Amino acid sequence: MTFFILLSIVLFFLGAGLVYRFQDIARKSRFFEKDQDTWAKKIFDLNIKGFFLNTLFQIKLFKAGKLRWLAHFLVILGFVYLLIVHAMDGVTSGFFSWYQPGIAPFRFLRNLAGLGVGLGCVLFLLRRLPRFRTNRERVKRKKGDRFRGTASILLILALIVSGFLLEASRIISEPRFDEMVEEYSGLDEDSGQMDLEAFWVKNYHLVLKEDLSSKSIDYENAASLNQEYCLDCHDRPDEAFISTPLALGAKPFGNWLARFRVDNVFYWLHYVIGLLLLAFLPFSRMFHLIAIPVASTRKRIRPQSLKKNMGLLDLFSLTACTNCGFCSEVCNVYPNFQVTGNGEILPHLKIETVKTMAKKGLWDARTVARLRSGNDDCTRCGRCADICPSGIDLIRLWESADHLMTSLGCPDNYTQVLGTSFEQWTRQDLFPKDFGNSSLTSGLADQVAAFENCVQCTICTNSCPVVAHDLNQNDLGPHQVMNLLRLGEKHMATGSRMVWHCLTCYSCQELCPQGIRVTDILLELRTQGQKTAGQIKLSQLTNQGSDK
Amino acid sequence: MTDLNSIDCDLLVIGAGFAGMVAAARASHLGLRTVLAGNSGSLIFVSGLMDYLGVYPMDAKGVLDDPAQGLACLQSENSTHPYGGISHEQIIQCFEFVKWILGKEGLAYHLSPGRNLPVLTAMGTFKPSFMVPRTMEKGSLLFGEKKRLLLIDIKGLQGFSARQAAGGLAKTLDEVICLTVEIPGITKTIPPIILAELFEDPGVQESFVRQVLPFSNRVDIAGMPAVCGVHDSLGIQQKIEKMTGLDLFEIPGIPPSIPGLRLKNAFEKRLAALGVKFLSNTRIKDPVFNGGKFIFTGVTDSGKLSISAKGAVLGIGRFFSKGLNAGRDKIMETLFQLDVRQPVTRSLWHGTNFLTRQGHKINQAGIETDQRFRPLKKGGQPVFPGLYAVGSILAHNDWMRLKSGSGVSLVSACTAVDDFYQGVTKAKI
Repeated sequence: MTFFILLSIVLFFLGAGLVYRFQDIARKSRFFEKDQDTWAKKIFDLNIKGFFLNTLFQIKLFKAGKLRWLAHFLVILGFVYLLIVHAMDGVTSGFFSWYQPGIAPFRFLRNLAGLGVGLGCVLFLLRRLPRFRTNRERVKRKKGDRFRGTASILLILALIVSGFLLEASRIISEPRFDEMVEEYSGLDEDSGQMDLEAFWVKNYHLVLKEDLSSKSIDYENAASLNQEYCLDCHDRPDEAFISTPLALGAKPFGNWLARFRVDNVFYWLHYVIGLLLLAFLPFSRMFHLIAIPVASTRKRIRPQSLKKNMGLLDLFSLTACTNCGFCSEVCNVYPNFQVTGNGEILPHLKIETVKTMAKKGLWDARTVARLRSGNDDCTRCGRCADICPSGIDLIRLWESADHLMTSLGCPDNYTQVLGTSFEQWTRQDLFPKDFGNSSLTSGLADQVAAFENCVQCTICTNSCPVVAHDLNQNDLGPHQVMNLLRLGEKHMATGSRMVWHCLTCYSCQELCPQGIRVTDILLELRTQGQKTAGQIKLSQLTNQGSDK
Repeated sequence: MTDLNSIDCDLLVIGAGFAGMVAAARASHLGLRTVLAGNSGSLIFVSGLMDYLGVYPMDAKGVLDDPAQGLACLQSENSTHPYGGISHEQIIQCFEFVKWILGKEGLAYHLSPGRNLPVLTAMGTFKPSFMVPRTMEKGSLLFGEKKRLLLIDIKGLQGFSARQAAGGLAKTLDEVICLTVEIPGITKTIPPIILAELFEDPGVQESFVRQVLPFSNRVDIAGMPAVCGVHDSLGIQQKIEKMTGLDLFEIPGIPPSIPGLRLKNAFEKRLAALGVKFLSNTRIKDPVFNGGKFIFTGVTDSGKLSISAKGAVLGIGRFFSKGLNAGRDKIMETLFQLDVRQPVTRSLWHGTNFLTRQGHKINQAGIETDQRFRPLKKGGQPVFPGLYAVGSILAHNDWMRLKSGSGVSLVSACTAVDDFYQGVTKAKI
């Protein structure tokens, strides 16, 4: 009875938790979408194939890592078996009259499933040890997140271990035996309870307080009693290939265990852990069990529909992330991280920051500036989304984060540069003192000798593929940028589209009859512009924050 | 940055303009280990026409029909012009060499059998030249019989107007029709290089032909700006000729010049095939002459290297290419600080009449050499035994006025390299 009350409470808690999470996700997802129609339309845009492949067979995980897939599959298969056949045995035996937890082959299968889950969890834990991590994975993760993951695994492992211990302690438990005998047979001292006890001691590893060896036992009577009352539900326990050895090992302490009813302790331990897992499912790492199928079922974004989907930041994708780190292992711009040390370049860290931003907006100027710069470094090559075992549409996520940051007032450097006035370029007091150099550093564009020989022959502009592509756009050509430099208008030059559109194909520099390093200068202006734009952005974000 | 590589070679050609390219080709053709250093960007400024001698003497009215006649006149006057010691036959041989070299890379040239070729310019005038790209060849035949001409310009291409050229031609030809062709997708301006690349697209060719076809019965020949493809210009032209049933020729235009780009590409490919080491965009500095050898430092954007050579050919151009530097009172040669033949004072550099037939004194300034193109010291002796100067840097050579730029370049380059080669082989024997 107590158990059912507890179960009801937990189920209520679980239901409420799920409703809360779903509502939260839906509300926050909607918050960032561009218009309601897009969301409504997208929600029905299903990817059924993706759902089956990735949920039932975890095909993406298989592609990502065989061992990881094995561990997952062991856990999932075992857990599903245990959940349906074992945890819900009341329901199961209602459907199948021949089902009894104590007979073959279910005892064996239960142990096997338990072993599978246990092994899977051990694999998970081993993989978390530093020595088994690849170099790229050793990037710092957030502490809370690691803890949540490990806690979930430990909880499952504890559930399995307590299950085995429960089974083992019950095999040898005399009080449990007495309870069963009383409930199902009504035998007493006179009608052969002792015979049955002895029979069980001999065949079922039961441990008794009193020593029966001196007494005369009628084994034939015992066998018939056993057949009559016990055999329907209890085979010999030997096929429980883990619990039985455990029980045999615990035999010397049998009496002591019986005295304290340790089997009942394990019973409650097992159930409480199970209920805990259930109750915290919506808020623990385990939520990915639900989020991944949902995320995998969402239709993937295609380049054609990218524009339409901008700003659609759905939290389901974000919560489906298990922070496994595969994405960062394949990340195309990982070298950028190595050079700049900006963790927001790496997908598995970036997604955490995006998650925070989805909840709190531009909460911290510095982190947001780093996220912006990291997300701008991303080439959208799609490798992360390809490998993501959770099937998250990461490209959509990065695009949406981009859009979101822009709409919240943190534009990319390109927009920042074009939207920066001359006053802003030169207002040094705007820059926080401790954020790198506070002005454009000296380079080619500051050395008169580097560009003074330009004769404005326009060969560079004529050979420029960007100019050729952009024929109808009225912006400067390379020779005009050089002329701005000659006029001392470096900031104006930095703000020109040419600097930011340059492909660095070097045809201008190759062809320049005066040997001016045109491309090098454009590239340098852009690099310095990036820095300055970053500083201006940071100062703007900081000011925004202080206004609030 | 301090990584010092070193290269050893027979001949270092300094300057990758037209003269430098020819010199490098000639040298490696003769079997010399050749290094070429410099910036080939200046080739984009050349028209693609190769003149021999279009005007002589300096103050002559009109142009020369027979360059050999001009050369004879020049030599009879004991002129100090670079052609001074070279025979007509030698000059023709040099032209043939260049034609052969470029032909190897599929850039076909038409060498005149003896007379100067009148080539139609974008202004509607005729310029005397001697060797022209095959794509321009038919334009030099306009004078013969009376021909009806279609002048085509392209919408968005700046620097060539059919109506402007037709205006200049009004006196020469009776019937000139102007046509503006539109290239699909081009609404405003289009740079020549991009347009030339577009012309390699069969779709663009077809659209061009569609617009020209209605005129094919009304004219005999059609002229268009030189944008007919970068790589296989003659092939594209022949294809269009076949489709329109019209004779077609290209008209050279303002920089960036597509014929110049073709020339640059052909030379670069040929030199690579010949095994010339081309140090593109490398500046040569600090020459040292020691023990019969030159040691140079080559400076690139990223590092330095040391080049030792038995001989050096100086084809570093004039003011634009920074081979000569005009100081306040004096013109200097920038690499070896050689003596520069020049007017005594700055006030004599230019005359008062911009288009004077005598030309301006400054254009005759340059490096004084002997007849084997070795720069001379004050006393008339060669500065170094293995040093040659070629191309526009040479003194007594107002090539703009005399219409002899390419001729002087290729003749001086070939002659200088031949002389160096003879010196090397003699020394070996």
